[in-house]
Amino acid sequence: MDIRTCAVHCVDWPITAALVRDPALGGQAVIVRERVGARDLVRAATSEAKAFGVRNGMRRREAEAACVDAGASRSAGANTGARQLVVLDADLAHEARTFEAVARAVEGFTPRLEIDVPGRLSFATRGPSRYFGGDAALQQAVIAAVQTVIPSTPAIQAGVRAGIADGRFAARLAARTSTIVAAGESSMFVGKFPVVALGAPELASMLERLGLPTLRAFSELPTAAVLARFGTEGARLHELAQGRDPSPLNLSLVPPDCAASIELDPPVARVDAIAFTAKMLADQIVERLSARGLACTHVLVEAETEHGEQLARGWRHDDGFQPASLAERVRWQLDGWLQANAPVIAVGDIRAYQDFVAMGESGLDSTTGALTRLRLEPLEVVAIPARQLGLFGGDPAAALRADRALSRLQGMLGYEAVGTMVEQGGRTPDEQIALIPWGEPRAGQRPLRVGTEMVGWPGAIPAPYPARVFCPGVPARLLDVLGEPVRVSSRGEATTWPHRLLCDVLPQGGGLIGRCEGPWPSDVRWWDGAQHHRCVRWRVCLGAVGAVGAMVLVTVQAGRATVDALYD
Amino acid sequence: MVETLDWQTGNAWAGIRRIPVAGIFEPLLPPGGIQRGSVVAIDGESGAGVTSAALTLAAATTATGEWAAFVDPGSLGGKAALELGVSLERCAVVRNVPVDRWAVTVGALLDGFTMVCAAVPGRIALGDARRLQARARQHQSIIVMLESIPGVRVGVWPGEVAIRIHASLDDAGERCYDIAGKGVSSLRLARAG
Repeated sequence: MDIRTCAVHCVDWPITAALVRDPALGGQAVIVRERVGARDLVRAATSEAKAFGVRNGMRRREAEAACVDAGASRSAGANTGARQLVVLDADLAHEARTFEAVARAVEGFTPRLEIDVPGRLSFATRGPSRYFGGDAALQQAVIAAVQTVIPSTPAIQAGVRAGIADGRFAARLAARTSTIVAAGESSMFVGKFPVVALGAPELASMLERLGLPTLRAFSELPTAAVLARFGTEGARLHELAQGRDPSPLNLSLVPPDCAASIELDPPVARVDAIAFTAKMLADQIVERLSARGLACTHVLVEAETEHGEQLARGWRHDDGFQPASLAERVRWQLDGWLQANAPVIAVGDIRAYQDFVAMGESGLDSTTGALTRLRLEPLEVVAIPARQLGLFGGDPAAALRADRALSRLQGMLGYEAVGTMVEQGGRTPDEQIALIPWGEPRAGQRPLRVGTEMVGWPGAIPAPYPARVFCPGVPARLLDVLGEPVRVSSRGEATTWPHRLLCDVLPQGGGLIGRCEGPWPSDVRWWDGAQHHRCVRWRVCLGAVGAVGAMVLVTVQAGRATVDALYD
Repeated sequence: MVETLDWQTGNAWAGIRRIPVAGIFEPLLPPGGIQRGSVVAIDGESGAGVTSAALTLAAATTATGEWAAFVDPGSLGGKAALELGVSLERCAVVRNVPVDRWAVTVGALLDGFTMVCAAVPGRIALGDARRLQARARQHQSIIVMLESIPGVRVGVWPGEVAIRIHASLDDAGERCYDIAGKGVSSLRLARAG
């Protein structure tokens, strides 16, 4: 039977984290957004925003529209709706840092807790439940403890849920409604949920079309048939649907030499100083395990401070950690431990936790300083079904070296600042290339070809392509023979022929036009009133007739000319 | 000279000490290509072909299975890179580099990349230049310095330069590259760009 587990779920944790950082947001309609591929989705929303009809997972634009509609109907005429919705970017590191307070509060009950993602954690209840006098008492105590460390807004306080059931998956589902599922009834309980609860949207939609709307219906299929049709991943989910956690390999099978540790000399007090080390340790562990065909699903992050305190925290990732995701968890955890004014509490020490609360109330600060040792230990491993890291071609050692350098720069300059380019569909040289942040799948937003057919882009600039592309374009003046600016008519055509181009990026500030290709008119998004624009492009060679100079791409749009690209 | 290729290891270019450059630069460069661990500086007016020259060198690097990186002021044209033969999946681009982090960034890239092309900011401390050059020598990487930002004078890189490429446009609007460096006299070549 599965281990009896308590799962704690802070609903809409990104919102709570945002409120911790900026209490002034309380009482407003706030959403936290996230980018999923090319889509911009709502990750979490406050109860005020939900009152307007905003739901998690909806597109940001829909959410804004919902708020505008609600605002307009509420205060007729006064168009304040657009301003009522505050849109924040998701900040995972901050969410994790803030969640550390919750983890600490729960750590007073048990030393062995596992964080799934910021906002969700779970722990085995056997000991604590007995100590606190049963599951119900433990559940109440946990909820109360968590509520003391988060903002006291009623909606957020009500968002703290804890559920107890056999097995992690059932406990997570139970946490949604703060339910306690009696021992042995997990499979009954899980069976009532729709298949979407598995967290595998593709499989869920397939099962629904097959007429299997609930987990019970899915779980009643023969295991062998599920394995044959949906593969190992399907078999894993089938096991979950039966209310059983997929059996991990026996703990003793974790190879003993797979832990990795490092002494930090000099001691480190800032997380950015240790981020690179963390990445290195994560790489080591994943490499050692994958050499044995294993992936780590539960890792213990341990650290030691200058004053000899031992810190430890478990993180869980059911799909198995990759180097990047493991390093991210480690960085979050260290950030949580190292954040200013945070006292360090030894594992499982409820008295120290009570002292900390008392100290917080009396205004004392008990930061104990820098870390001297960092250790990562895989606690649970699974066999890798068919997982393989991407192949880049070329020398694999060179790819590893490059990966290390780029990850380090990402820590220094920001995630978006480092990447590789990928070709995509588009008209201008700027649209035709996307910069993909390092570590993300290399795929453009617009397809280059559908099937075997190249996608046509009317008005696209043909080869050759410019080596420098300005985005946005550099303001310029494109003049005709009479010295008047060249304009675009309402039919998308240029009024006159260009004669002179003046721009700061050109040598000597520009000059006469020697040769001119084009024009390429383009009528962009004519179906969309707000984004519709017409423009005309030329490829222009500067220089008097006979002597030819720099070549540039010029765009005229709404009466303004810009130099968009330079053939350098 | 090009060392004997090690066909046994599966990587034809493993251990090679020079990056062979085909195309218009081939007759101008030392036999075998650009020595690894050295500095190449490219200067010229904006529009004269400085970036294309750097992309050509990056294409030569990625063609050997090695990696190239650009420290980019935010304007590198990916289509032109493709056109000149750069494998984009082995060509990293680093943007938004503050001037005070520039030397650190280039240094970090030299640890992991065979060629690092960087537009030179207004001024480089001599100490930084020496450190970067030492790092390039240690990791056997090539630094390519682009000196075409308006207002930057030629020769802003204060360290030792193995090859200096000067880009200019001739009367017909064709790109010319003069290469003057160790062991190579100044040459001139006109070719369509």
